[in-house]
Amino acid sequence: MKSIKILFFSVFIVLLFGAFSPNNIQDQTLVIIVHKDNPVESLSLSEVKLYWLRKVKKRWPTINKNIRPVDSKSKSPEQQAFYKKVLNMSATDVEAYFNQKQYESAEKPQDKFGNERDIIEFVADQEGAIGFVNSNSLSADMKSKIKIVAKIE
Amino acid sequence: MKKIYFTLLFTVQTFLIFGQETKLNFYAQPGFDLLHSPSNKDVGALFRGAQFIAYITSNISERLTAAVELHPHVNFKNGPEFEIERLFLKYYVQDYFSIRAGRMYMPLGFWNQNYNFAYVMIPVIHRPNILQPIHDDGFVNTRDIGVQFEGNDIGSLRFSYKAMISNGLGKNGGLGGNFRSFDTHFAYTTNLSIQPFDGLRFIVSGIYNFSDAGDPSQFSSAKFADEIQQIAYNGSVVYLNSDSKFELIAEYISTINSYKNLGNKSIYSGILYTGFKVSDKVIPYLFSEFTKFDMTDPLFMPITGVDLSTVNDDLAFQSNLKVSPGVRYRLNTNAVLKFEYNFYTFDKEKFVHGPSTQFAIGF
Repeated sequence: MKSIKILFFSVFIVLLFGAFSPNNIQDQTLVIIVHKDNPVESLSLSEVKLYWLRKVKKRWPTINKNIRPVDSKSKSPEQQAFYKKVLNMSATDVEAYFNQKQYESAEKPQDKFGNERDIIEFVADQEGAIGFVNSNSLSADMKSKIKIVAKIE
Repeated sequence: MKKIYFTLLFTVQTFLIFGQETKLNFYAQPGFDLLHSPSNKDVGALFRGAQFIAYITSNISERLTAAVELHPHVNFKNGPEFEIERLFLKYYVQDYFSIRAGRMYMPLGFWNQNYNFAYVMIPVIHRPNILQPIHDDGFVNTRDIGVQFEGNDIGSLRFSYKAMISNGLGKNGGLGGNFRSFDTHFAYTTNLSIQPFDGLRFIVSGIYNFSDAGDPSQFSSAKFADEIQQIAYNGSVVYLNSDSKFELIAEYISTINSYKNLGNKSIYSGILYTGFKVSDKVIPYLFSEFTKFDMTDPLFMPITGVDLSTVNDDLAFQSNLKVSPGVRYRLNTNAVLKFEYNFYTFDKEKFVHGPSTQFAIGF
């Protein structure tokens, strides 16, 4: 009986610390956002990769605006998760990819911002933008300005 | 000539000043070569200059972009020069159709379009022999002024095309240019490729060139002594995928220069690069190339002062082979350190070998 109590207590402690840990699963939910007027409703992760890297299409099909990938200026858990889970590329490879595109055909590289608020505001402002942020960074007001097209747990 | 340079420079600067978003990148790549010739019992050493490059791009509008690549350097004959390596405008008409106009690298194969002066992005230390600019004793017309139509990643096979019409052989690749007959004297370049898997590309391309006897040649004070029709053709297989540790660039380029009086002169060349990403930073590689060319071809010999009839047929063909195992260390995206050990065999000069290093940066 005593061992069952200890087991329950241990589970309780683990769950308690897990819930308040900065690295809990909810905190790590990454969302892919586009402008609210972009008619795209949802994207698979492979589609996100193609659009964000401007691999096949350079412009959004319906709104006819340039696709503008948005990135974090410095290393962040969100950037690491996006590069790993969506692009399957290292940070060096991502930079090299855009540098090469720019060098070969004058294509603009990704727009970079220092914090998530700036990323969200840029996506809210630019019809062609596509970016990634932590879902916790989206207030109700911000959610009304953008559209979530994919979630990565 | 100076007027043309200044006019072009002014035009680009105007674009850049009024352009929506302008980006300025610099590239530099100092290095050191050592060559040992066992037959001559001689060791040569060379510090290579930093070869400073400025590359400016600007998004003038959503669809229109401009780019200029500037290369300040010292020419031993003419003193300091400020060469415009590339200068083009690109207009995105719609998916699968864009237009470029200006001075640019011709869409011959893969290497010539993608790897030029920004060595921080180039996997090896030296540009392949076959792709040296023709005015620097190269073999093929690799860069020109003209218009290019292009479209990428069409359909499930990701078909891409590039078609360029340009001034053609001779001094027309320079910014000065010369008026030519409209019907036959341009160069036509076509590049077709498919990408059945991400990163795996199969490319075929070719160039057609024609020059009359008396047309200006690539050498500053000479004209073509004979009518020439040049056909260059290429086949490439490229595998460069960030998901994969393995890298491959294999290219074959051949050129037939048909002279009205001298007959056909041929050039053959193969380029092979293979790399393996041991980690994100360390990439050992092997680069090799061979070039076989006819030294009696007046395209790359001094036009005046050489009596071609005195060249013995047995000596006509020269072949060069280079094998370079090397390693690249990426400090980060903007700084790469390379080390190679080069082995060269020449028909006439036998065998030389030695190390090369390069520190390539972009900022």
